[in-house]
Amino acid sequence: MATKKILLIEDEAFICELYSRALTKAGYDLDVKMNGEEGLAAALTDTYDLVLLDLLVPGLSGIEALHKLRGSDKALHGKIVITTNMDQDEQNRADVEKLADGYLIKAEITPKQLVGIIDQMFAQIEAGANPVIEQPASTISA
Amino acid sequence: MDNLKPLRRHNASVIFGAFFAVFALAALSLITLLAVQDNRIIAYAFGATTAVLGSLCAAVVLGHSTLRSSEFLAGAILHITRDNQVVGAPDITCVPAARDFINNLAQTVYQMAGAIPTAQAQQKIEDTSASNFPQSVLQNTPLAIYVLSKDGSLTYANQVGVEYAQLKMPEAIGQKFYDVIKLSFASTDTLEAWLKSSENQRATATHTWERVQLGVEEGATKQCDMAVHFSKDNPDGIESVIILFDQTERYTKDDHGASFVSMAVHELRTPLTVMRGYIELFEDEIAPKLDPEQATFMRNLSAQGEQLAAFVSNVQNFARIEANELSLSLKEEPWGSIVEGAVKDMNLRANVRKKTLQYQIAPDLPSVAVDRSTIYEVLVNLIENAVKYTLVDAPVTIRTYKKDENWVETVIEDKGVGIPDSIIGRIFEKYYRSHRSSQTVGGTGLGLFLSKTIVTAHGGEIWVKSHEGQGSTFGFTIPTFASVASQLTPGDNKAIVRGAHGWIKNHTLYRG
Repeated sequence: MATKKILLIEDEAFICELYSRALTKAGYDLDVKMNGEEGLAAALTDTYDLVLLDLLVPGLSGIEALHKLRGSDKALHGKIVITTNMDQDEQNRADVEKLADGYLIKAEITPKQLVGIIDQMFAQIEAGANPVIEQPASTISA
Repeated sequence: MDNLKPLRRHNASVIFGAFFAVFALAALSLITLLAVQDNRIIAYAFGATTAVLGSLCAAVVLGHSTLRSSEFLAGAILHITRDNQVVGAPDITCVPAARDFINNLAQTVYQMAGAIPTAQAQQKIEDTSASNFPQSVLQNTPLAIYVLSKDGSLTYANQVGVEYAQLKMPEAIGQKFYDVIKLSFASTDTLEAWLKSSENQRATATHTWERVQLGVEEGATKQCDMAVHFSKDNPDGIESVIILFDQTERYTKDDHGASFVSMAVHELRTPLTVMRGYIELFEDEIAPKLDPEQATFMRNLSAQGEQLAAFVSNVQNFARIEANELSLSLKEEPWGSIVEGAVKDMNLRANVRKKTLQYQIAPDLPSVAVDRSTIYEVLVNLIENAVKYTLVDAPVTIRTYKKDENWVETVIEDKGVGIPDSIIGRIFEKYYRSHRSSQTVGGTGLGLFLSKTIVTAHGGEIWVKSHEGQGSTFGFTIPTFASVASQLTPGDNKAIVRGAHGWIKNHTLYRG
């Protein structure tokens, strides 16, 4: 399996550090953007297999970014998984569900669990299937 | 009636005096009760009930009444209502006693409605004779009141009721209540279901609902609390009286509160994410170098992090329930592995408290229809409680089995402190904590309320059996997939599951 490229758009430095460490250790090629505008610009290069997008990043409306990345011209072909700590209201949720491939509450998963979810997602894609992955219902590292 | 006229004319002051006495009594109750426990609901409901009952008494005793006095009554109710709003509404959630007062009110209105000719169209009340006193009171009461006949059609709506539900009059009269008044309920405890069960089981019954949504025009809703009095085989042909209390303003305020909760939850989750991340990092990279005691500290830290994450989720779900926004998506799931997963996940938290968990999963367990992440929280809450309230060295046992064709039952049994008989009826109430348990064991009183709400939303039931000093057994049922399969959307297995924890499109079971 070729090394997968992941873009992490996340403004919390500690979370960047933890996720970078875990994802890099797991063999992913990771770029991190801590600012919304830069993150969106990077995502629009369409060179990533996966974008982990926080919906609350300075300089970016996550929903707007989703529309830009996944709107009519489908500017990004990789997967988008929302990683956030914000529960969405009904309206936003409908948009998020339509446009993103996943929605994870960061506080509910540890970095290792995130890696597990991503590993499995790519394994499914590699096997020619749609990703058939579920976030563990548990709040707990296995 | 004629011979009473002089009395009326000459003793107006007596009549109004009597009325004011009633009002004074109501006001006195209000003041006393407010002084006792700053609680508007009791004051309001008691005041309103007293005023209504009092006026009826006055009408009977004095043998007559006037429209004017009913306006006074309405005025009295208004006056007792906070903020002097036209349609103020009591908070029926505040204290259990409040429900009794509301129930009294509903019954009183029911009795008054007996004086209304059935299938009568809305009309201005000109007749001020004694027999129409209750009607004029109802007509002028600042609460939305509807009367239903035995077949569920609307036979009467008072002025406020017509305005409140934007009824087209007189066409609405005689139509089925559910066709003209669109109510939506937060759970399966609906008016229709309640009336149906009352019809089979009771002669008379009164029930209250909180936060019922009333659809008024396209897209718009009002939020109200509701009290209903039901009586079987009423000679006047009235079967039920429905009273709506407009709570739109209060609940809208709460909704803003809920979004405050969402923000607070977000703010709590960020450091929580970081802490749990670093704890995991420590466990991976430093644990081998720790001595056993330090390793224990590490495990304790980890367990507390998990517990806090679960609590924050509870708070979020609680806010959703309060805002009537908890949406479940039931899917076919293998229940055994969900239970097994929950037990495995709870092991750390049990072990740091030196408790063990045992579980038995019946081999013939059918698949179930659940919203995986919310029902998972029920398991976590019940196991957590069992561990928390077991102060002796005894395992907590989790068993799950097929109860009958339609239900799978799951039982969590502990040998803990148990629940005294005096409070066992209240433990599923919101915020309820017994005086004693709040002294010995920490908690918020949210867990069981949430569990009950979630189980009920699944269509199941939750129950408890307990002997003080010997332990407690909590159980709940969830539907087998087969029993509800026909109700689920076809092709649902590709549906997105919503939950407090997140989702990824297209699901199979994942265990990290």
